Amino acid sequence: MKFLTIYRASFYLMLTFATLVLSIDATDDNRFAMLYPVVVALASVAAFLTVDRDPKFGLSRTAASVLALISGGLSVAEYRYDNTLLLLSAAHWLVYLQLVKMFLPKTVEDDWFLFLLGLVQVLVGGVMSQSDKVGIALFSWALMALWVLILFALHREALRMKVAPMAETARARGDRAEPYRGLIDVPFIVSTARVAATTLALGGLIFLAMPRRTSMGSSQSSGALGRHLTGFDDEIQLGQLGEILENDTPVMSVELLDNEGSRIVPGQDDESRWRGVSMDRYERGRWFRPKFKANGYSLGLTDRWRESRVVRQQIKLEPTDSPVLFGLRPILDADAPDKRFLPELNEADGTLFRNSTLAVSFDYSVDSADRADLPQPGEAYPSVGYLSRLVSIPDDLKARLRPIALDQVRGIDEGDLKGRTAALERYLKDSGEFRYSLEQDTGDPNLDPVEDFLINRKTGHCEYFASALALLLRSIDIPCRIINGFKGGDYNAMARITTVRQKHAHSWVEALVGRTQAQDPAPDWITLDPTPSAERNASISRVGGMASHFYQVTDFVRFVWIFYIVGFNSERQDRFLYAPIRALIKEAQRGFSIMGDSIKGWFHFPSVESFFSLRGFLVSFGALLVLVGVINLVAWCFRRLMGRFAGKKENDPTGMAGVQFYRRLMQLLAEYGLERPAAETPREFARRSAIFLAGHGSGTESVADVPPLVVDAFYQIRFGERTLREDDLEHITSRLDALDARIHPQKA
Amino acid sequence: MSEDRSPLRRFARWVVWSLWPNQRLRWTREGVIYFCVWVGLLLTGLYQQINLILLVAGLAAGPMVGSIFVSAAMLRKLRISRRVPSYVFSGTPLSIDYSLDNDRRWSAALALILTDDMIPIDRAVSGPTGLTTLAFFPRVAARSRARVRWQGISPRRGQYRFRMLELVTRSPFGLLERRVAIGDPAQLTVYPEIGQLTRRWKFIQREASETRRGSRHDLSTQQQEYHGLRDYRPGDSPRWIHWRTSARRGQPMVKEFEQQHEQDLAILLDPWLPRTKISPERREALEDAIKFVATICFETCRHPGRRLLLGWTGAVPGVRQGPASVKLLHELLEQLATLRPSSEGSLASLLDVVPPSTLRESYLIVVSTRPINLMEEAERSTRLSATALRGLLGRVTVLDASKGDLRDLIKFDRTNGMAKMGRGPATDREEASLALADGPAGRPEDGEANP
Repeated sequence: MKFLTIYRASFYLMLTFATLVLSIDATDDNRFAMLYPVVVALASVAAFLTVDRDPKFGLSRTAASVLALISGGLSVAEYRYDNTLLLLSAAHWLVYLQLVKMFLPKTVEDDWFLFLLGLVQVLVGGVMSQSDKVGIALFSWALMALWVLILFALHREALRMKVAPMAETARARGDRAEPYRGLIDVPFIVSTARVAATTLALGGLIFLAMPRRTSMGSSQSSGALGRHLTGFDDEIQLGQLGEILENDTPVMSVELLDNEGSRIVPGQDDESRWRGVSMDRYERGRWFRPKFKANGYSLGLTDRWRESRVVRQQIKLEPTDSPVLFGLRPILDADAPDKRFLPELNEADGTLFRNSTLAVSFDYSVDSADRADLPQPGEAYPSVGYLSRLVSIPDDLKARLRPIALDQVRGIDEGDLKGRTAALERYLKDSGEFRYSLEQDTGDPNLDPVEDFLINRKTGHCEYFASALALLLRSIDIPCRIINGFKGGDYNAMARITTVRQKHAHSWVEALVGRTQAQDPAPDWITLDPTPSAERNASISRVGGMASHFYQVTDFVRFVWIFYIVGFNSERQDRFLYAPIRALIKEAQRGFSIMGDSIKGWFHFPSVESFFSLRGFLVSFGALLVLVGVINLVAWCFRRLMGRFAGKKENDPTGMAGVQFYRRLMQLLAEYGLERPAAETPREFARRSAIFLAGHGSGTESVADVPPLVVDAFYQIRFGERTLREDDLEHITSRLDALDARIHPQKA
Repeated sequence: MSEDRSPLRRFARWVVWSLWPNQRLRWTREGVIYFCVWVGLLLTGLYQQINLILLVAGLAAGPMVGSIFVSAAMLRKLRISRRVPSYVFSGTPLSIDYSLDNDRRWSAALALILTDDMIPIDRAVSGPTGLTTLAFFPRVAARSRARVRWQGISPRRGQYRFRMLELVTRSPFGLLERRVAIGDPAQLTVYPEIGQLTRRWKFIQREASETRRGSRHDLSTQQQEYHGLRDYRPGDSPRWIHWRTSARRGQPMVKEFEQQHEQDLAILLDPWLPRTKISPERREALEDAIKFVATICFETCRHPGRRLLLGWTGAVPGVRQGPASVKLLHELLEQLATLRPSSEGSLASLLDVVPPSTLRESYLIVVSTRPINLMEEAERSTRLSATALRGLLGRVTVLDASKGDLRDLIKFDRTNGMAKMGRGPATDREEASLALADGPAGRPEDGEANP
């Protein structure tokens, strides 16, 4: 395949990827967004087959200018149609310009311009969205860009050296115009891959080392809301949670850290409950969230907890349309890098929330006590009104459920609320009467769904179990509320994070059993989870199909993307990069100080007598050796520097003269009949000539010393880099004249 | 030179070579623009603190940093060499062969440029500028060799030195250029340009020759070569009778001489230029004089038989002479190639060093770049007697290049030399170049190559 063909095809593919980065996550804003990369790809093929093969098929510059103006008008029209999409409209103009440019005959400058257009599209794409889809497209573009840059450099070099004519002449010349024949072979692919890997690694390092702020900017999306998270609305239809239980889309990624910042590895049966919303009112198969005013309680890790064991959760929440945040209860502190959206705690129901519902991922951290049974700091004891709602249950339903509940708590003292709640929990969870299932069939449609679950169906998912327990508790006047959140998650051993997916959604119950016994009495809420864990876990493991087998890899990639690329802030930078470097330096310092101490010991001589020992000899010998080395090094450097200052002795007359003398000698001896064969060195030849001259018997004995003399001088100048003194030069000249006179007596 | 086998020394040399900067790295024009765009990208990313922009900036920095290492790798395990002729005539096509050996086991060497500088040894002769040659090696597969021939027009006369071969790579992205200099000294002598003598010059020569024949009877038999004996013919000079043979044979026998048809030639060149304020015209005149002299030497040496002498004025006047031969031609052309203009010296001092026999018998051509009064010069000469001067005046042609005397005597083929290379009929100069290439072996450069 021809170089130009490969280059051009790669270039167009890279441009298509650039447009893909721009469009891949813009379908919410513009439903035709995904058409743009398709159009670019088609246009690439068309341009490849026309203008790149023969420039006469290309647009004229005037036509291109007119089309560029029209495309500007199109972008303005798009903006006027929806004025929230200024950035996207401007980016689409880049795509139009790119399309126009593709159909022009291309010079090197045009290729750079196209490359730049692609780069700007990528940047706009990155500004508009930071999703992992954009990441994959961006990475593909980066790889293609590297490949194209390599080919582009070769193309430029060929053009510069005039061995790769442009398309029209290339076609006419055929193979002769192929500058890099046989370029694409296995070694080239391998070395290119190596270059790409090196470049990406270096680029990655530079990216990691760039200065960061605590809070990184987020993408500039159009302001649309994020993904709807079923089960976390103000009003929830019983069974609704089942929709997301069969969905394995990630909701959040969590890093668990202890007080020292070390990672905590959750156990096999991770029972962490990421508390979300609470619901207090039940009516005909629907649960309602309490209508509190958002009276936020600013959390802060009090001194009381500072010394305790704390589980820190670094959470990256995917874009959702709900202000609810998740965390392990009891929540001691919560923070976010973006101080505009600090998490707050609803002191009435203990819900954590934020004042933002923008469709961007949200970083926050939660500090929780390592014991789930501890009270939630900052949560107020329920008011009378709230308390009444916590025990409210339709009378008819209460009448029917109460006997069931009483049957289970028989023998337990009325005042032993914990005992009674535990009994009811056991009834649902461990009695074996109830089975966990995501199938939602109805036994008797005339009955309340919870009653139907308890009496007829006896199968359902966590929402039914939790609702059943809550209503049973209320039927015997124990205040309680339903909590919707997530339980467990997929722990990734490579990334050491937990990915919580929608399938991990869970409902459980919090029952109020009084006040805590602490100095500062708080409501004593206990957590009850009546759902059979084993069956639930089995059900979760079935969700996801084949893809779930690759979660270790995909979650790791996702983790890198969200924590170390999109969400890489100064805190992570410090933890990932600078802290290890600091530790390394400290370690090195310690090592050097140990080495220094041991070396010092060698040089320590308490008395003069102690110096005269084997150690003293070795030390003094070593020191002298180093001294000599240093002196030599300094002298060498000095000579080199002086040589540099003095400049090259290119026109040194003595040097040139040495060569001239040597030539003259060779010439004279040649005239005398002595020629140096190639295998003989000048010195050997001089020796042989001297013998000839000395033994000739025709008066040349007196000049037999000339050849060695001249060759010695020649060696000194040529290889010894020396210069001859003036009197030496004169001497050699006179001796050569004498030789000349002897060889050519008639001349004399 | 024998290799140093001491591992310590070899290691030390390796360290020194590693530290010594024989490689240079510099930005290309595209690299500078790329860097500016990258800075813009970086500043945007840092200001906005958007990680994806910073990521693109980081990835965009990769090619710049990566180029430092990859370009160094591209130049590893490559050997380059140059083959250059030992002489060439100025203005004729010059070919230099470059070869590149890729000793790598696996990867090809791509888009390598080899630059070579021909630096004039004597700027007073060849002018300040040399010649830079470029050879492009698009692709040299692993463990193979590629040869590239550079062809151009040879520069002004003089001796040129090739010092360093520079291998240049812009691999892999064309943002940075790395140059490695490899010492490979060589020398090239550019002989003066050879022209074609015109009919006018031939006419002058014929005229001078006829003048000489007119006074031929005055010449001694020393100018004639003894050939043999023959019978006496009426009209033969009695002085030619070989009495001993005549007595032995019993009939008069005379000595037979073969007359030399062409007289020995002495060219005296006066490359005079004023010390200051040298106008381009004067310099041009000097070069014309040298080219003219070179052409006469060339023409003379094509036909062996005559003796040729070249003398030049200067602070120290010089003379070279010998029977016309290719070997002498090389010597004379080399002398002319390196001849420096001089503001000192005079023809008188040159006449002092010219052998008396030459002054007595040879035909003299005096080429100067200033007006010459031969009478005055002869008077100033310590060797030339009044009688010798009288004899000399009939055998001398004085030409003043500064007055344009040479304009009608020589012409040059000024067509583009490149057009002549490899196409069309070979010109005289090309023939000459080829002919000389078959001349005596053992040029000085060959001799020096061995040590």
